[in-house]
Amino acid sequence: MVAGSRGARADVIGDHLARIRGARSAVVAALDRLPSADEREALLRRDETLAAIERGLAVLLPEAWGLEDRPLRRPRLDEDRAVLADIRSTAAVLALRLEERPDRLTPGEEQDLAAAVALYRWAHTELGDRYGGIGTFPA
Amino acid sequence: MVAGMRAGTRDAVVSNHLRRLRARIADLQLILTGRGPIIVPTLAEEARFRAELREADLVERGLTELLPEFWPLTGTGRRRTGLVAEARVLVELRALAATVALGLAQPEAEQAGDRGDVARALFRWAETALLPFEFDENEMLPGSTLRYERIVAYAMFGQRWGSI
Repeated sequence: MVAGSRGARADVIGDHLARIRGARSAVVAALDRLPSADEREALLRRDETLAAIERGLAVLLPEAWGLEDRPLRRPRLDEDRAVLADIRSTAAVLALRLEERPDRLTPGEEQDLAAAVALYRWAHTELGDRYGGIGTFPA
Repeated sequence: MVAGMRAGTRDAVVSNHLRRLRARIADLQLILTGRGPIIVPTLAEEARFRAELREADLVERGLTELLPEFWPLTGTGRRRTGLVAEARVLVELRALAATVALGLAQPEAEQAGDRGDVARALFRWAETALLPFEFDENEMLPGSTLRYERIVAYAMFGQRWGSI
């Protein structure tokens, strides 16, 4: 399958979505162990970030790219890198479109903006290529 | 990156747009100094022309300073390109500008002067330049499958040919 093709994009998104959902489950499990107030605050912030990335992968990108549900397979590394680069630039375009809009954003658009920015930061850090001289962002 | 995109194609498209942008900058300078073909009648219009000139200056820096960091460009290419190639390059350019602009806007990003403003102006300019090509706002996102025959039909004939 060609890296960056529609099928590869669905595979990569599905693969990462499973990992993000796994990370959210780990956060929930940690919260169940009654952490300290500081730890709880950090866990809740982490969950908020993961929730925004999950929305980006599960809602924003499939809608933007017109992806449909289909059986997934494990993507190759080159496919993963190519799709992550597409995710980063797509998320950046979607975020800037919303930021540059002169009208006030609706609550749904505010959520989309948060998801697009979270998706951008996550994809950039996953790629770790310091594209444009921009460093990585803590997850 | 779009598979098969040649550096010469990017250079030709960017050079062509750069020439048009510089012509517009020259026009705005003539208008604002009272030497242009039209007279600036109101303060509001003058303010609008000044704002357009500031924006055009940022875009010019985007095309001549920011883009060459990523693509080999001369800015003087004269080769003719088709509408499909132009659309492809503009999609890439918009993605690049958005990626840099959003990255520089993150709280952890190092301060880089007005590089973020330049990238953001380049993004706005690319959005406008792509308007004649786009059927809907998602069709030409970086990960989308571009339907070039529709892009060309739309750019040449307008939306009534959208069923092609």
